[in-house]
Amino acid sequence: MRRLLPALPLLAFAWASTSCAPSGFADPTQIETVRVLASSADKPYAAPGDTVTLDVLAFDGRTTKPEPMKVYWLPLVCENPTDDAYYACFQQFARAAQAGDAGGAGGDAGAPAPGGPFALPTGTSFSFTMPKDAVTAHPAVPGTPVPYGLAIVFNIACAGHVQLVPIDPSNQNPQAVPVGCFDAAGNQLGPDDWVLGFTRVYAYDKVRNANPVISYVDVAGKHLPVAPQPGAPQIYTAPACSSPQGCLSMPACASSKSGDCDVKLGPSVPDSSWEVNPEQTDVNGKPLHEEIWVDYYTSLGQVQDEARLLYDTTSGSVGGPDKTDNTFAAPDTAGTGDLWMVVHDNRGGTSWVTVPMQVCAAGAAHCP
Amino acid sequence: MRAPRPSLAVVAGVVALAAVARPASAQLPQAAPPVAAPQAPVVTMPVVKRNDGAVYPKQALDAGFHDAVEVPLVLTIDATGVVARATVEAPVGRGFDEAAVAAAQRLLFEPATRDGKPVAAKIRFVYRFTPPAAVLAGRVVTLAGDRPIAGATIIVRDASGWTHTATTGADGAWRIEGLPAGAYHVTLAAAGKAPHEADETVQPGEEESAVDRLAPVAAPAAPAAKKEEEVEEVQIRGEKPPREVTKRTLEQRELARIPGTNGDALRSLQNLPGVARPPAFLGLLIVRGSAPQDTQYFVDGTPVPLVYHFGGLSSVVPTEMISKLDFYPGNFSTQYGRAMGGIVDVGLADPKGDRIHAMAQADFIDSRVLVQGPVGDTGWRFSVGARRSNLDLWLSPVLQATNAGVTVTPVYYDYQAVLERDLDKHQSVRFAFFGSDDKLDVFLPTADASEPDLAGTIGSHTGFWRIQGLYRNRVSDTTELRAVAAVGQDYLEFQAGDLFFKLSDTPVTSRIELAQKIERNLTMNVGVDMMYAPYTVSAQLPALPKPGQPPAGPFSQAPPLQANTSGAMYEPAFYGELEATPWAGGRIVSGLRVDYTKDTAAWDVSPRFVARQDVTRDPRTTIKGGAGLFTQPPSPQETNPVFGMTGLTSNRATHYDVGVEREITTQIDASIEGFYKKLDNLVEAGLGNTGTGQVYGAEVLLRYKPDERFFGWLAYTLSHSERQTEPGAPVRLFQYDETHILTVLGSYRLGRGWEFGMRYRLSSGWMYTPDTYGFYDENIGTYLPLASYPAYGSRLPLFHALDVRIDKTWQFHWCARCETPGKLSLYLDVLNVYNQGNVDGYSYDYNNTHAAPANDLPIIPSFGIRMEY
Repeated sequence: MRRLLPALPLLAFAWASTSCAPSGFADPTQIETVRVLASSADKPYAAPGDTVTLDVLAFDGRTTKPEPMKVYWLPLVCENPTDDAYYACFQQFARAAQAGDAGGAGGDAGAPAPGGPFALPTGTSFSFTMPKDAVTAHPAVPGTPVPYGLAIVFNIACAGHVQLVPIDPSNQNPQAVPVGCFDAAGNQLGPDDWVLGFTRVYAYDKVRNANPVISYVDVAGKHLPVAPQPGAPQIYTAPACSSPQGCLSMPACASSKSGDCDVKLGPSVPDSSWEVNPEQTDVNGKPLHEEIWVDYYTSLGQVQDEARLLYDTTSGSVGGPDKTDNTFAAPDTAGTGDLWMVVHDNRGGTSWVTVPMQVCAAGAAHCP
Repeated sequence: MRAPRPSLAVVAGVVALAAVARPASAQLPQAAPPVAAPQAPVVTMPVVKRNDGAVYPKQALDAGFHDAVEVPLVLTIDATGVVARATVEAPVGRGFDEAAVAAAQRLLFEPATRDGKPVAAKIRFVYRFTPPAAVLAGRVVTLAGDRPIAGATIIVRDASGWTHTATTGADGAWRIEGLPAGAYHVTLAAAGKAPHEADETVQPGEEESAVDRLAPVAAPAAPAAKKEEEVEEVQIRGEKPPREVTKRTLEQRELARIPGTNGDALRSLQNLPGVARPPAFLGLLIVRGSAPQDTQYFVDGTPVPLVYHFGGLSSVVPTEMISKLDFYPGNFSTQYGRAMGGIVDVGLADPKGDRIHAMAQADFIDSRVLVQGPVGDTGWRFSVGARRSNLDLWLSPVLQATNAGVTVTPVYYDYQAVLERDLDKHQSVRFAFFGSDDKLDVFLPTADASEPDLAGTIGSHTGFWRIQGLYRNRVSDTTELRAVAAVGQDYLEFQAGDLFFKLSDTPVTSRIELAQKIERNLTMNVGVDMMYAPYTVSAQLPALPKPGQPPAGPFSQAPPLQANTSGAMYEPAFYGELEATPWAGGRIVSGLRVDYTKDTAAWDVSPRFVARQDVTRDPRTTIKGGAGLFTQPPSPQETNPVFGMTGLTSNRATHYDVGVEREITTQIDASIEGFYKKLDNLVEAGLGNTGTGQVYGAEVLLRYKPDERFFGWLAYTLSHSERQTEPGAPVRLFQYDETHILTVLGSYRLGRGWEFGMRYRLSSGWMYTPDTYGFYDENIGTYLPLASYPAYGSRLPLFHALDVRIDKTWQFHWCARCETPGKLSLYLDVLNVYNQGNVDGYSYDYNNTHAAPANDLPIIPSFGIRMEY
């Protein structure tokens, strides 16, 4: 057992490392750059041959925008990469580029030509067909409870255009990024202007998973209704400020005292979304459920925690909104913006709700 | 135990005129006065300028001849004073003639003169050979526990009644030099111990060395048994000599007082040469550039899986229960196997037998108690100790008071019980029960966006226990039997999110070793080292990335793998060693170990060789070296069909060492060693036995051994450790590589119960892998870094820190009739006194575009109180 034990302190160290980040970093919940916030598949666990539609939530939070942000999709869907590693897809892309292959699972655009700009599909949605042999083509992995297949789809939120980046042949780094985002002058843009994202979609013959349901948004004990988007029921929107019922509103924070302007808020996810995870058990052999958590983002104001746990795999609901809600603090100036709550489960399920907000001037006579 | 040492020549010579023979004088060569004939020119005879002496010939010693011998020579000395010719006037044989001529040819003279002018001359010169002196030396320790006995008196009496005396130092060692060859009667006496007498015979130029184990004075016995008890005398003589190139032993006083360790025995190991500074909160021992799991730990010869409690805060055996700590950084004896790095062997202290003793201690980290003493008049002695952490008592309230939102309850225990008895003057038996238990439960309501599985319920539970029997029998003057057997349980569980690991095994281990003295200079050790461990494993974990490859994403992103297996590890081993002392000051140990591993269904054969040679005696200087093969079976998870792979064989390392040790004074030792380790056949996850590597470096230790006032040392290690995961892959520095490691420490007793100690550490930073802006994982909602390649390609800044410890002890009487005073001690152990912000690593912002140093421990004072009776 001596030779096994190093794993334990390493785990503890990993936890300690992730829990003790120093202050002074930019707040990840405040969207001030080009960001991808989420992606959701209508079928998180697809069947072979299914058509899967991905929707992406991206936002351009830059104050100056020389070029608008677009979401590009790499049309070559990566199938069952080595060791299920996303970066192993780059080898597939390179091989496809060399072969001039436009294929891939449902790819509907031409393969990227090496050495320059290339045309990519754009938009917030992308559809592909899960290969019929997705499960059978996946190398057998001992210890896998149920055979599965894996497709990985890459997208790029870029405030410019996408271009292939030549890779130094001596660079053995498997993560070497083969694409970049460039402005009209040909300058490669930095992290504030582009994001290379990817979504994994697992294929099972029989196992399915549903995206979490968001019933409403709790705001200091009051229910803010949300509505699913037609055709994409995992995407919810709270009332817009221009709607008859009005949006989430609050006065600007005139106090410098911490806590004076705090508002508790968070999504309500019903117990029915806490699905049994039939393929996994706990240490005592009992079936586990999903873990569900929510990530927060905002274009104005500030949220306290970047993520809150809603459902534990063993003990279930962490509590009602009074226990799971995050703390939001309005900015000190009036304005409008959005608050996003992205609800994930640990089986690829993702839903989100966009909450438009209006912050009134401090001391305003009427704040809707 | 004989240890021949180089013969020292005692030279007697006489210079005489050819015409006027003079009787040989006592010790030093002398020039005879000139003889002047009447009216003749003024003549002066040659005068000795340099005489290096002659060595008593080995041929004579080997033949058992050790009488005093004179060899008359006729020397022809030229006009420059050089011996042009030396002839033996009356040969005596046995190598004396050759030795005399060889010595004479190195003589230098002031030349003879005639009327002031140098001229050639012929003289008669006599060498007197007296046999080299012998040495009696040894260590006096307690029976069974091998705890050094300081202040013991040794009286050595020769046949004529002439006596020599010595007193043991803090390490129990004594030594009497300059003894004529012959028979001696040795008497050893120590307070509270049964005295012992023995007869020893020493040969010229040799050193007779022994370890004497003294039993406690027998407790008052029942009248019927008293007569027998009075004559009982327990002692085992003739412990085997060191079998390793390097064996470092820390003593009780050092273990308890090294600043910055909180008096923890095993943490003190991290201050020795060859041991790298481990990352904070990780109880790791990184020995000569090896992986932490390559070093094996024993308690009195029984392997144990853990040495540190959670976070490396303290050892699983408290210092009070330890009599000594032996550390072998490499090239260890064939009695140890299944490890490629180093060996740590903890010796449990034997219980005191004079009366009941008790000790209690508490600090912020933990509380402990120890009780020991005789079991009535039965002859048995016992000790019982236990310890519990105090972290939960103050950490949980602090977290609640600060609204940290985290519930954490770390608790650890350890416990020890020892029962021992000396069966007769040759045999002793001891039973021990010891174990450790660590439990940590955390509830994190705030998910970490980068690793959602590390939220909610996170728990771990690790521990082990052993029941151990130890039997030692000095069957005869030439045969000793030692057997240790143990049975116990190991368990390891952790759970985070939907991931868990649960292991339980029941190891049965035994080691039986027979030491047989075949001849005066030859001892054979043979042994059997068995390990059988049925186990069950349940696990649900993500697949691990291949070595050197970045992870495929957070734990949560992929379906975990499941394994439910049971089986048995069976690893028998057989070993043998020949220890030869073929000449004065020399020792050669050659051995062979054969291991079988059921998991790999393969045998490993490990030949090993060690040699030591004393090159000077006073002060002693020893050159040493060794080479050997060391194998380590793949770990269970590596051979697991789910998390590992089949078809693996053992990891392999070849160790080479050369070095010099020198006793500068009786208290100060110095040593310098160079080492090289060639690693091959290393198991690499997902690849097989494809890994290779090498480690090389040097170690320096300048040590002041504990005396009544002071102990301390300076340790410096220069090291380079590199690995290659498979042919063609980049060669990279090992993640625990530290080029420079310097530790200077000392502790001084000021008097009136005050003791003050300091430790200064300076070492290279660890290796780390810089991250940069990379990718966005949309399933989890987190950025993944673009890690530099190869991994661990950059080094953190230099580490340095000063630690201070202050102890104050009061003695007092518990009661009016109590003869022995009790002790009350307070101590303050301050870590990182000048609050140096050493960098442990770097933390990155959410998208890995900005990094900030994550610092090591800040200044941390630790207060403690201790009571002893």
